[in-house]
Amino acid sequence: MKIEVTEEEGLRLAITAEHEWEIFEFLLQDAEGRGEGWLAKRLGVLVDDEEWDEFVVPTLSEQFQNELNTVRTVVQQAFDRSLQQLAHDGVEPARKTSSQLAAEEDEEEECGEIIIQKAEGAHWYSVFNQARLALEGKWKLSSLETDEELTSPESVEPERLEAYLRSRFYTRLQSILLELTLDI
Amino acid sequence: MKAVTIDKPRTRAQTKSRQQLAKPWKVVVYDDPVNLMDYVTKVFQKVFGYSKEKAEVLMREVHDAKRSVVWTGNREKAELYVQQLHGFQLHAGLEKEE
Repeated sequence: MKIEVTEEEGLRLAITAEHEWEIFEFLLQDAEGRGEGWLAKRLGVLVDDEEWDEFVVPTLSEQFQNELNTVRTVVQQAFDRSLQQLAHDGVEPARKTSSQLAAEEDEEEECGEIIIQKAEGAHWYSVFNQARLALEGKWKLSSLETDEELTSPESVEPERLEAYLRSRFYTRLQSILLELTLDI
Repeated sequence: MKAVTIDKPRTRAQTKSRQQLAKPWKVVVYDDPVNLMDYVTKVFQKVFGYSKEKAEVLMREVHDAKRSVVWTGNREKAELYVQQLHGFQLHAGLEKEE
């Protein structure tokens, strides 16, 4: 995957291998946590007020779900475009000159792209955060780092290790968003 | 005869109760292993209008002391701030001033 900043201060994630789409499937699954409203309810535990659960939690739950839906739509549309491109290329192979072919060999082939618009940067940041909070809640990934279990990865449960690697990837993208795109 | 209303003398209990109500509320932010430090700083700037320097001091306190009182005032406004902080997925709560 290649990550570039767009002229509009968004991010372009160039998919350079088919399996990279799976990362975004995982992201959406991870962010769903324990089902709709899980994060708003979890945060609500910090406020000892019945009315909070009645009025604030549903509002926050809706906000988080909307952010997730925005990202889901962007990923789905990007994936659909890549399939259309694939079908198009398969039906009508482009006639290319030898110089074009040589130039392509130098570049990593792309099989799709996801554009994070600047205006949607906060939604993406939120979804990465939702995913990381859910993974942390389920796998206690921070203790994995402090316990230095990572020095012997073979001793870590494979699913937990995968969750850790995904969380690291989400963190990296969050850092890039924070530095280059996010306008809060 | 015209009725005359006389204010009841304020009792100690009532006075205490009003003092309790008047006590300020604290917005507390708790440390968590997920939210990035720069993000927390930006959220404090956004929600409270703090300078970057003040926001960084509070963020650092959250990180080091595991919690920080980031604002104190009336309950209504404190609740609004906590709601906003939750919207940014920060772990925040309300506490009454002792």
